[in-house]
Amino acid sequence: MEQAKVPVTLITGYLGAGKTTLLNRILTEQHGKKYAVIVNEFGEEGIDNDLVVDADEEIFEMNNGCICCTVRGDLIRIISTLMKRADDFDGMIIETTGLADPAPVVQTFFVDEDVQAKVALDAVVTVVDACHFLDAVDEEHELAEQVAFADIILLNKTDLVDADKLNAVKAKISSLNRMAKVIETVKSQVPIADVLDRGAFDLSRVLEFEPGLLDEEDDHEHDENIISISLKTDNPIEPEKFSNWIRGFITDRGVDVLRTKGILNLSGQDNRYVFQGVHMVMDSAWGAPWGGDARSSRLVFIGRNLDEAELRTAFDNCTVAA
Amino acid sequence: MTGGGMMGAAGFDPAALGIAGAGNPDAGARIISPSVKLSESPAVGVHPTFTVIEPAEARAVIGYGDGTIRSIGLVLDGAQPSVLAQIAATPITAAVDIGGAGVLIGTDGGELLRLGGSDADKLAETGGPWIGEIAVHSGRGLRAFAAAKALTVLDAGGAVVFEAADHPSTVAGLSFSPDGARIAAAHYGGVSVWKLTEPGQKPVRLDWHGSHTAVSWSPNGQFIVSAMQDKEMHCWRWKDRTGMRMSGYPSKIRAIAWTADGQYVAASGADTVTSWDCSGKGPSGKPPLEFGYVYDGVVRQVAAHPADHVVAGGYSDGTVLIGAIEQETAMIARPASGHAVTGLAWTADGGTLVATDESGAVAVMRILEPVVS
Repeated sequence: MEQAKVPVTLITGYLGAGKTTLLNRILTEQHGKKYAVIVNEFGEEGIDNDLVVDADEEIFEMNNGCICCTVRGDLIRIISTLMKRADDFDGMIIETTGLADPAPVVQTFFVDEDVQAKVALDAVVTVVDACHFLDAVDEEHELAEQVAFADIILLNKTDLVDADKLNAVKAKISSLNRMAKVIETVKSQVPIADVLDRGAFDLSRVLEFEPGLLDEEDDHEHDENIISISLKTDNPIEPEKFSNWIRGFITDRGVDVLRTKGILNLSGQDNRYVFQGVHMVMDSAWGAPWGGDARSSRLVFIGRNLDEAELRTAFDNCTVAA
Repeated sequence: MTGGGMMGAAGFDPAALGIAGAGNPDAGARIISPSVKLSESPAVGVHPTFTVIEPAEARAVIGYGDGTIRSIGLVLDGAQPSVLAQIAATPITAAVDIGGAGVLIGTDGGELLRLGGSDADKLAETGGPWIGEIAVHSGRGLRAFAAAKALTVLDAGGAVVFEAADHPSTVAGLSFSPDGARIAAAHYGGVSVWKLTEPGQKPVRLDWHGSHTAVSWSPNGQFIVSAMQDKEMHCWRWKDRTGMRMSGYPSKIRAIAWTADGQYVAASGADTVTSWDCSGKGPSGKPPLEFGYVYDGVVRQVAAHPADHVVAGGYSDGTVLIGAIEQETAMIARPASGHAVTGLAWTADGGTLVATDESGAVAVMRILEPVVS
């Protein structure tokens, strides 16, 4: 009786980065498929779709003891109503405003049961303007958060910058988010398969992510800015130690931790253990068997005020050897 | 859950069950228990968005996500719902119009429609924002609707008698006071209560942190209850504005319903139908009364009997139970269909109950004996 859930793609990015261009590209290339498009403001560029719904960006805090847990009340209403239509949507695409915080949007898909029952967040796609990113990212914290939350980053307008600047932009993106796949584009021109049907929040696909590991000299201390930290250990993890640590850490620091992903090699277990989280909302499952693969545990945190040395020590303390 | 009729066999007349056959007005009915007969239309594959009973036409009117409005008579003759109207937008919400005649419908096209007979007239339009909430006060001849943050009240002639444009968020629930002098609007952060006779004044704000998604004023005027995004309800005693939390629900509360005398307020959201005793100072310190556990099901809809301390509960598996609040017992009125119940409505005499589920099926249930004596 379980129906396939309608995939939802979230497109974020700063004003003028190329979000609507990407949206129209998807709609044109996927001609014949039926999409519901939800936008926050009608921009100058028209949207080429039958069904475009205007959202109000109503951010509601939840009373569940987690101060960072917010949802978008307008999206709950819109999606619940859209799913009662007879239309069989192939997908939904949400385009946020340039200054939108992606967290309440993402959390809506994990917190509200009506939304969760019918649709599933497929991926967060963030469009970055290669020209203006470095100037804007330190001024507008939403921009850093949009990059930090992304599963796919379209590094757009690469034809308008020289190689040095492009490398500087890429370095900054990589410091913010080591999980995301970065695709360089001109005029948001990207193979549609690279942005749709990614299953980025699907636990069975957490295994596909290959975070870049930090270079030795790329050493961040306690940092007010958003950074991403990638940890790895070959020693098996003691489940109880890890569970106690991660619960405590997320409870204390969930406000600062934007996204978490992990694949664990738990001692005595034949299968991988995978998990992911958005702020304090965590989700986990058993993954594929290790078989003959080399066993190791990997963990990525994206957030602010993260101390890499402290996290590394805590993670190492969760191993059987510790 | 207690199966079967709770009244026992006393006073039960077997002839009332009827025998299926030609010319029998109950020809389409199945006998569910000594107390209930059921006639059910098949799934149509479209999700109902509202289910109301229109007393003047002795029919149930059901709105569907594809814009179809269907009606079905309240007899058990096996007739199928017929298409009453087809509207361009998606109907989101509805209420029986003034005097029990006609149905008011709010749409995602921003229209307020009145369906009388089979004609849909447009009473108002917003030019954009969805009309997501409607309330009617028959005694005073008032119709209220909410679109985005704005509330508008019209009189029977269609003139605007009250407007409040700027609630803290989209208005997610509306309820008139029983005397029709005030209206309560639910939103993020609480409920605003407006006095309709004094436009321009500030509302009484009943504050409670979080998103309030429905509101209902008790029929005795003493309490205002809201349902919240946070899987709980909040109750305010109107005379002194004292607030009370009603929490512990495992899922979202989609429906709240007061008994006719205002003593109990029932809610969906748990694996049983929960009813809070609001007599005396209110529900504080009194755990809710419960009936009707269904294996692997959660209560999605509740509807209170028009006279007795009796509530119908519609479950996520399609089951409909009718229960006596104080006895904490229930009888089955419709077996599980596999599709969640989306709407429940009683006739004014409490003799017939109509339910719809996510498949679009409509169940008409005749109650053959009183549920409580």
